[in-house]
Amino acid sequence: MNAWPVIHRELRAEARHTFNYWLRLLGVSLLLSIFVMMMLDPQGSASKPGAKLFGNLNTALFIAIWLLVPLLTADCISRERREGTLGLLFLTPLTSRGVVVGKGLIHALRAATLLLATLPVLALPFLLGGVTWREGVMALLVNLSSVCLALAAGLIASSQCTQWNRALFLAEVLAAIFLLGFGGLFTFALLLQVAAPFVPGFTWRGVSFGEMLTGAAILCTDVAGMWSEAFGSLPAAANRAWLQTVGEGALVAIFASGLMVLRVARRLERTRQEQPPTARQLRWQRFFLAPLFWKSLFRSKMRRRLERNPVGWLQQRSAAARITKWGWCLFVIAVESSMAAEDDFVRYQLPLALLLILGLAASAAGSFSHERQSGALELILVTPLSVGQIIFGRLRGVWGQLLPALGTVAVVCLFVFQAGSFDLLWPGDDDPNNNPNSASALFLLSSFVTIPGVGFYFSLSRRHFMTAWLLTLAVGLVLPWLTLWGGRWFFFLMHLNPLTYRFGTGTALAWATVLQIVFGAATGGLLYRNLHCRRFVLVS
Amino acid sequence: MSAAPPPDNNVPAVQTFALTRVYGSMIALNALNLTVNRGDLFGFIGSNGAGKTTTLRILATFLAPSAGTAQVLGHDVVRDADAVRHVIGYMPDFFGVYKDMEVTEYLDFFGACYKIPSSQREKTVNDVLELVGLSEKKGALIGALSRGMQQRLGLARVLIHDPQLLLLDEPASGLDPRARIEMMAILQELQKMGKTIIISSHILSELETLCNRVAIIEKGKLIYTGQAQGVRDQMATGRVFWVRVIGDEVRAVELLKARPEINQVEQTEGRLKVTLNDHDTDPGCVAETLVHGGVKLVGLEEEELGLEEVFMRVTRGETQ
Repeated sequence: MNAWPVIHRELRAEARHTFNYWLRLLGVSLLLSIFVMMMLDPQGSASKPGAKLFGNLNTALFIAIWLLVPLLTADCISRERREGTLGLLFLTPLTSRGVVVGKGLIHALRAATLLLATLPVLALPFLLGGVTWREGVMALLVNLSSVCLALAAGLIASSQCTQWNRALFLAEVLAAIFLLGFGGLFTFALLLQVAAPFVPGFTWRGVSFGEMLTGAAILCTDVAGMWSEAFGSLPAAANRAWLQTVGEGALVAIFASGLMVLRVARRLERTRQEQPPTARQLRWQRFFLAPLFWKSLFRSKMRRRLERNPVGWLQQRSAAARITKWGWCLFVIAVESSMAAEDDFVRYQLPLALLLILGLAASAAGSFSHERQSGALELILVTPLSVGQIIFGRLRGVWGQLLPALGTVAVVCLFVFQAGSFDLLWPGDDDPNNNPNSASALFLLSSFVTIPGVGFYFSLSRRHFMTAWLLTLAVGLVLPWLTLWGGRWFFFLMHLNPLTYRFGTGTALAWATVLQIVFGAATGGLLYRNLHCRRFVLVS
Repeated sequence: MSAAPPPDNNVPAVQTFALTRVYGSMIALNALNLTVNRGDLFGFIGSNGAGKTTTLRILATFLAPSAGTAQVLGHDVVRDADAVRHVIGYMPDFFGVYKDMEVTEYLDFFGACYKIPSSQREKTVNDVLELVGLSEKKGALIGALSRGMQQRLGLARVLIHDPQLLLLDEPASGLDPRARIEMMAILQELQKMGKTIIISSHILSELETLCNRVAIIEKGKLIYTGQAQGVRDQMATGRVFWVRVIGDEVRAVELLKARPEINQVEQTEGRLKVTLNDHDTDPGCVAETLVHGGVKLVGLEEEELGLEEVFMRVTRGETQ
């Protein structure tokens, strides 16, 4: 197996990507902001601040690994396939195993540089005290396992797809499955080797599915420094068993990801030659993706869309667009149905809505990239379509994709609101004059309206989807909150109006909404100007 | 299929005045003054990076000039960009297709972009497909078409709104000889229909026979513009003659080199290549010198310069 030429090439290519630099900077900034927020939080310094800080930092890192590593890896093979360079690689004596291992190693290195960049911030809790070497080793092992599995998810997705958006989606789906599997097995092993022998009164029957999920989240992430508390309450033998289990888990994760890399290599070997779709595949496609009933109605509906706005029609014409639209809706219905029996059902609505907004941002940030790559955008821009038609056509298309799913969440929220239990959305905010429910609905509505515009702007001005998506989230969601938080502290520290620091969740949400609209309008203006001047990054 | 009427029917199809485009520190176009008359089939010639595509992109309203102005059928490409887009058809040097669309779907989409009423669109799509010879591929997926067919589809897209001016950037690149000849025939047909066509190409021999006027551009500067057939007379730095003598070739070279009208004499494969100083020099001086010098002259023929030779002579192959 010779992977060196691939490693060499990938290293050169990655060294030229400024995105890697920004990603490390983003990782460090995220952890630093968590650190600053915790330090400034008057309630956060009660006991063991170091342990809590370490736990929260580690949680942020854990989430970032599972979110970003699959996305960063997902296009590494599919891009070669799309651009026709994969076939050229196989004309050389390189083997599929060499290609996959080379690419996997470089993306592992990329993830390792992210971890290394955050190391100085992760060292801060040790200086604050309350963190032992055990938490450090545990965090290292859990994050190592996460990187290996997330990498494997990205590689598998990349070997299965040709189009980048499908590869990204599949990578995240696989990552979610691996995370659930890893978390479940890990929790089961801990219950078996630590809880059963060392926790008095522990019974398997007493563990519900919800408790398993919560336990897995705590055991994997150390949220709010829970590891430190657990280490303190367990005997030394239990602590040793726990560490041993985590070590075994890491070994299993590394072994499993190694196997998956080999499987990817085997699949690549099988599919290295381009094959046209088989008759059976075509039959299935016709059966599932082409309209069977009311065909004339469907055609006239699509024709009306084309007449109204050709750019909007472009976004909705394909079977893939319809699958995305109804796939989101189905996902939301499945989540709502499975959570309906839970006591804290209402609490899931906000994360679900935020997930849909993440999807909306991804859809918007990737919306022009296909046209940019094929050159079709240039052709559209020399037609007499106005800038407004292009923007609103795209807006309709992106909104249309998420509308059924968001509508379902909205209906559920309305139902819960009618039932009078909507206050569970923001538990702990007991100020009756500062009800955050309407403000949060307003914030979500404003996100739904403004984020596509922000996404379009970055889709046109950034070469890579990941940069565009992260910037969309940064400007559309994070920046309003950061500005609000910075503003509150500025007023507080300047003694201009100390009360502003104390306003509740509802007021904060309302201000964040206003700021979001301001940032959205500014980005929309820039988008209009760029399209009007035909100014954008040409080829992705 | 109605385009916006031009302000004045007597204005040229394209006029640029000191058109300049700068990318950072690189000058892609340097004060280009160009006129293309209505009905011209205009060849735009230059090395890679000479500024051809930049010029076409500015004319297609896709790029704004850094300085100078450009007018298309009397409309300014910056101020009246919308009017310009109605009257031009731009075909870039890439396909710009949606591979998962059918041929008719693709043309239908661009027809809608050009606001052709849906009642007319089907007929228009059929007409342009027939014109480019793709009628049999109506229902085919674009991804399944060959390169030549995709190129033809690009031409069909350009024609969908019946533009008065076609801007074609390397339309024949990558086509096989038959497809190239067919493409050129289509362009001649379109010229007969009264359309003005600007075509940039590297296949100079074809441009020579196809175009009535050409422009040669290098490093963003216009080197020549005028009749395609007159390019040789105007651009040749000096006529070249091939001379065959019997006997002392060295003496013949010495005699010829002594004449002030003769710029260069080379001995090549038993012949002498004589280059005169300029185009107006009387070629009779060659024969006269040799005969008076006592050298037996058995052959004297002028080298026929094609557009390719002229292009190679007047350009230095410098790119930016």
